[in-house]
Amino acid sequence: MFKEERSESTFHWGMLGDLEAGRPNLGRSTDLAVYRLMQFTLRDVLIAEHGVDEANRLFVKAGEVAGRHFCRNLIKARGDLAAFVAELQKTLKDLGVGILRIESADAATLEFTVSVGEDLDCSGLPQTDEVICAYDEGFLAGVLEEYSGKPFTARETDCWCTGDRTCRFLAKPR
Amino acid sequence: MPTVAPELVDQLTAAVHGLLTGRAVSPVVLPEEYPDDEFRQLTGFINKFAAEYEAFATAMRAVANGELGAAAPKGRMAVAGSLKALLANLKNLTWAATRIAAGDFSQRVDFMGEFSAAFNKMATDLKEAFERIESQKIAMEREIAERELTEQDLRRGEERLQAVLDAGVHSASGMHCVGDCLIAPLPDGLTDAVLDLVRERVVRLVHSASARAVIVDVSAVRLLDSAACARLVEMERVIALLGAKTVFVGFQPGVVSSLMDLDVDFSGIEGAVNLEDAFDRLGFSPPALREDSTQPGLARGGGDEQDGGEGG
Repeated sequence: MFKEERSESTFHWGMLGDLEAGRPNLGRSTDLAVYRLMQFTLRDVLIAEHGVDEANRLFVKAGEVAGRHFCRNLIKARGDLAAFVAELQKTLKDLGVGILRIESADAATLEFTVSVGEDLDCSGLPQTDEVICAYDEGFLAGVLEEYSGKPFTARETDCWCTGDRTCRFLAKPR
Repeated sequence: MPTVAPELVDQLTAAVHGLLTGRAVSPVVLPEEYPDDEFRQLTGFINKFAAEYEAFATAMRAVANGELGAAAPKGRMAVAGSLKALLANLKNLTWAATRIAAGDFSQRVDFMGEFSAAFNKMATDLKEAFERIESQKIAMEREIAERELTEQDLRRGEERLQAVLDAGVHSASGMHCVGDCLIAPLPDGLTDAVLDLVRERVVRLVHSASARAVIVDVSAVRLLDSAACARLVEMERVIALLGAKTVFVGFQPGVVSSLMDLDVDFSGIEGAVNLEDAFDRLGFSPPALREDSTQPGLARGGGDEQDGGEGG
């Protein structure tokens, strides 16, 4: 299930396991630092082994898979854009992923400008003049792909790491 | 410590003072030959700060004027980051307000302190007000629909009554004028509604034709109850108010007997045996009718078209 060779994603929600049964005492949550420890050590190794561009590409791709399954399993609203956005905002907030705010959304062209405050991946990181939320780019694109049925691309234009205190993404159909 | 010429220190001091007093500040330029020491480093920092501060101030002025599309300042100063966060929040609020204006009252904003509470309360209140208005509108539309149905029922009722009246009047050859005299035949089977409409038509015709007398032909009436008789008496009084005299002609013997049994008050009712008798009582002598006046019923001819278009 987890270690077969594969050329395409075989991820499914069941791979996350039964969290309640598995952690009756410690529960579902962990410290954010632990999440980032995994994220940035993985990034570190990927960059070391494959270079920055390839590491970024892999993070975006993994984010897309995550976004699609996140939307498929946790977001019920479909069709009505306002209801979808409202549920997505609430779910991301409730799960502590980030504070999603819509700056603009064109229902006709499906072009979005969104910001994510207190982002899981980057809020509080040292300022480096780099936009580093590659996984978020993929995640947002994956969510919108699952919602719309169209391939999406999302690009981060501002990031905590560029001194912007909030991450901003432009997303549109690919 | 490096030795610095007092005029260079003065330039830096003026630049910092300019920042503190809100004036435009030009970069301090050291002579090319000035060594690369701590003072050059300090000058560089102050110039960079002045440039970023100016960019921040420009962006703040734009935001203060509501220009949310203004370019956010670059740099790592904490105030610049806060301004970018403020811009993101304001853009989000603008979008949320736009959605509310479009009727999406589910919009909420979080983590903006008192503003969140005020905005979310506004959205809730607007939703409740909108729902209240919608509810009132639906109730009003329902009431209007019910009224329209009632009006349709009334119109249909009036049309039925008019049809009954028309049928009754036509069966009695219709109302018509002979000289100054209006002749009004009554149909059999008088109801209150028919009598009311007959009275209304007689009154209009008396007024429009300036009739001085009315002959009410009751020869076709075979049944007359006390209520109908009271209405006839009332009609006679109304006609009198218009200055005309009324004579009833052709009461059937059976009708008169019934009314006597019912002890109906006939005061004010003047009857005539036949049409000639009626004209005599009124002081009229229309030659065209004289030959046919021996019959209790009325003469032919005339019709509603003679009554000045009032017939229906």
